[in-house]
Amino acid sequence: MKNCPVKDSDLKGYASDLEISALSISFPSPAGKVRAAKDVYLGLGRGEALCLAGESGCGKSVLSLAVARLLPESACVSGSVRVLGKDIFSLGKEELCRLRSRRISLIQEQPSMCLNPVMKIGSQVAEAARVSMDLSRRQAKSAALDLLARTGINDPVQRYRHYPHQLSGGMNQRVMIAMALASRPRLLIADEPTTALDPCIQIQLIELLQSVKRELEASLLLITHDLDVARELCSKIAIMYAGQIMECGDIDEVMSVPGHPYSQGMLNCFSTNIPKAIPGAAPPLSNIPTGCAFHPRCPRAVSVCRSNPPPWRNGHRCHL
Amino acid sequence: MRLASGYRGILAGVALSSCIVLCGVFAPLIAPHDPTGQNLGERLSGPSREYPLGTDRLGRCLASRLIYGARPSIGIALGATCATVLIGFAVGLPAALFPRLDMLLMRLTDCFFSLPAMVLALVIISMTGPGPWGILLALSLPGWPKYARVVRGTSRSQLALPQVETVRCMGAGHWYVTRTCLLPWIWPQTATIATLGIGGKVAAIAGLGFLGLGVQPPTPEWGAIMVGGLPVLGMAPHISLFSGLAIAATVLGFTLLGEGLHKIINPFLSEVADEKLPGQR
Amino acid sequence: MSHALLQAEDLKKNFRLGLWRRRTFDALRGVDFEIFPGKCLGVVGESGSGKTTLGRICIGAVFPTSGRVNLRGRDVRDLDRRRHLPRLTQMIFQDSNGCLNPMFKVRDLLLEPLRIQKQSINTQSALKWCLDQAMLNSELLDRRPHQLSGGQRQRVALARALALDPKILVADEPAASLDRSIQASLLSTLLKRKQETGMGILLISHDIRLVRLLADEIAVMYKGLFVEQGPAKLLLDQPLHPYTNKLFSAVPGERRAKYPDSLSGSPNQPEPGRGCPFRPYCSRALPQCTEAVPEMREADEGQRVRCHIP
Repeated sequence: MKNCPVKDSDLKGYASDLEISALSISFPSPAGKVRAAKDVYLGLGRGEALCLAGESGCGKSVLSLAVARLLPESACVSGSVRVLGKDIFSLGKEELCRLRSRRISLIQEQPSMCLNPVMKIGSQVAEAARVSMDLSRRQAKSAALDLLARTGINDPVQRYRHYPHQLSGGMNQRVMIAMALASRPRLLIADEPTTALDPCIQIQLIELLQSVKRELEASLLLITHDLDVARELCSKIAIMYAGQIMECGDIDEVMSVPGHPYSQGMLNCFSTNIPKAIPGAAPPLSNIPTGCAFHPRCPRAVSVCRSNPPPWRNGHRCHL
Repeated sequence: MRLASGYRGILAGVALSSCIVLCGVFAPLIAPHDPTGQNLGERLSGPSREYPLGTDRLGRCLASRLIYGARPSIGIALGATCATVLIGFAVGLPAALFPRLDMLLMRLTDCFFSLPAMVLALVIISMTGPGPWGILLALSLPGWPKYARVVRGTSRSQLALPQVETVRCMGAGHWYVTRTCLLPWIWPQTATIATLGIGGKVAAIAGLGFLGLGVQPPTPEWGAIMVGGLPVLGMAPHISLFSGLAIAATVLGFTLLGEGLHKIINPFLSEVADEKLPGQR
Repeated sequence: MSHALLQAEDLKKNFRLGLWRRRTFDALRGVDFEIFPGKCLGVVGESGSGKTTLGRICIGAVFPTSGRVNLRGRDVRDLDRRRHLPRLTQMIFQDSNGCLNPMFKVRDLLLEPLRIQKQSINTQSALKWCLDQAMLNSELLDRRPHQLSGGQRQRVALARALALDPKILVADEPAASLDRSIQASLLSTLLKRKQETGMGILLISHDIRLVRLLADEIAVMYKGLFVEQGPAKLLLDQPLHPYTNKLFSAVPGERRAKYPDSLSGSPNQPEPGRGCPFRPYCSRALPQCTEAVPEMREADEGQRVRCHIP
């Protein structure tokens, strides 16, 4: 399946679940115009898993919010985002609501922040079930217990009555996944779902996400900076830097033979016993360098990199 | 200036309250006549060129009395506010910094909270006798528990942050922690509450004056002037009217100031705390 | 032995919980270790194993219920908390955002430790040194913490911790939730510092990859006890304890068809009051594992393990 950038006709029939074309997002801010995304093309077919990788502050989370149309009013958006064939920015309020509650699920970092701290977790899962499946209260409660059990929470009957602060981070993330499962979505968006958790818990959550994805035949858009987790879950990867996709393709190919200098730098950090960092720091999105955004940090930059934006070829965006 | 509506409010508040404060400060220069000078031939006369706001029962210039009356009203209100804030900090900060003192100090605060303010004020005045110092005490003692609670609550949540542990690790003592980690977060809230409270204190002083427990004659004071105008309300309504307006204008001015301050300070605080893109951590 | 920078002897710490303080929670149940100059001890384990409490005890923020910590031969409790202790030991935390005062600019944050210690400083040279250590650009000096990225904040926190030239640095999950390049730069700063100045490091982490690169000695912690301790190379090649085995194999990144048994799944039986704490999850448990907590015994070449299984 082709990823990006491609002509619209190439994508028809392939990227059935999510299709992003020429998407650019910017925000006004006191520091100047913030360009969170520029000319992004992405596509996901049924049952596929794509990882959007990059450093924090590169604009990946903004992209995930754009897919669910959760951007603030001040955002300037150009290009199109089609979820399940529908252009999300032209939907009416009711249709958008239906799409969000029944077709898309968002799982985020720090689940304890996303859950209501004064409501029992069981009630929150039951509420998600009731809204998406139109169940009665009693039916919703038994659906919630079933969902909690399926996501691997021990003793769901007792845990139903607990509050988020009584559960660990890993448990809270399972509750979020249970809520996402309640609506039986076609598109799962997971934004750093396993960050800051123990590796053991990470592995359990990865297993859970894989089984949920298989069961629902859903497609997964995973957003993370952790390439190891990406390798476990996804078959395709798109590497983002300063709001632009720098490289994308099959995950095994990209991770074994990265084409773009940024990907090479990231993947070679720990290749020897001496850690090698990419010099410098990612530019703030309000002040992106001209030409290729990566040129100040690139060990192989030449003069054309400073002046001209790089073309897309061979699966990555580079002059070389 | 970011917020137009907050800006208008604070501008109006600053204008009004500073006018009144300046009146009190420069009273000898502004007042047209001696406030205690009687002119029995001109009793209860309405506003005229010589007496801009008319005269009272003893023929004293009302405008001069109101201008001089700003002094006790604002002076005692500001003094009482400073006293309550200082006592509140003196109780709230140690309660947050020293957990062993916390229990004792908070129970003390609860005791003062539970006493009804008006009753306490009257009891104090009955013990000290009417007069400015009595009123100052009567307004300060019921007022400080509120500040102690706010200071303690905010300090406790700030002290739980890793930044306090980090600077303690570097050898910072209690005073450094208070100065850099606590005060910047406490003073905006207390400043807002204090400014909003000044209006209430002015009204309370006028109320005590109305009851005859406030500043004693012949010192002019708005509450006392108002009560003096009541028996002659039919003939000379201007006395109670203008004194009432003075009280109302002061309360309004300080309330607007406090609310405008709140709007401007709190967005700054939340801007400092999380100026982020949506979705950014 | 006597020139160890940090020596911990039989550290025990329990917390009293509940309204009437009747329940006790044992965070540490008897921990011994030493850190020598220029060496790094990596403490690995799951959340809740007591690693963070251990870190806090080593910097003197928390006092142990029993046992002692010696810094350069002197008990932590006897050291002047405001003058001597800060120069001996410093700590960096996982949450860099919460550690930096949001009202200060980066230049004030970098100079803060020196100002607290009332050291007379040449501001320009001190700032230059800090920026070099932190590998940051001078244009960031006038920003506030919320205007920096997570990686930049952690670098500022590290520069602050190193400013007082501590002999021991306690790093509590310094690179969790940071991306690879930042992890690499933090690690290389720590390595350089360790080699050049002989600073000792207590690295607390659940990321085996970091520990592999930085630690000279590794201690595996489980429910308040060290279950295995020894030179890093030996431990990584031949882990002896069943828990260590499971921990080292639970690393995301290698695609597997089936994962090993989960470590915190439901136990086979309720947790025993005495006996090895790992007994409920251990597939190779022997009868004596329920009887008593195993003692630490020497395996070969400096590796020590707390297990009944020979």
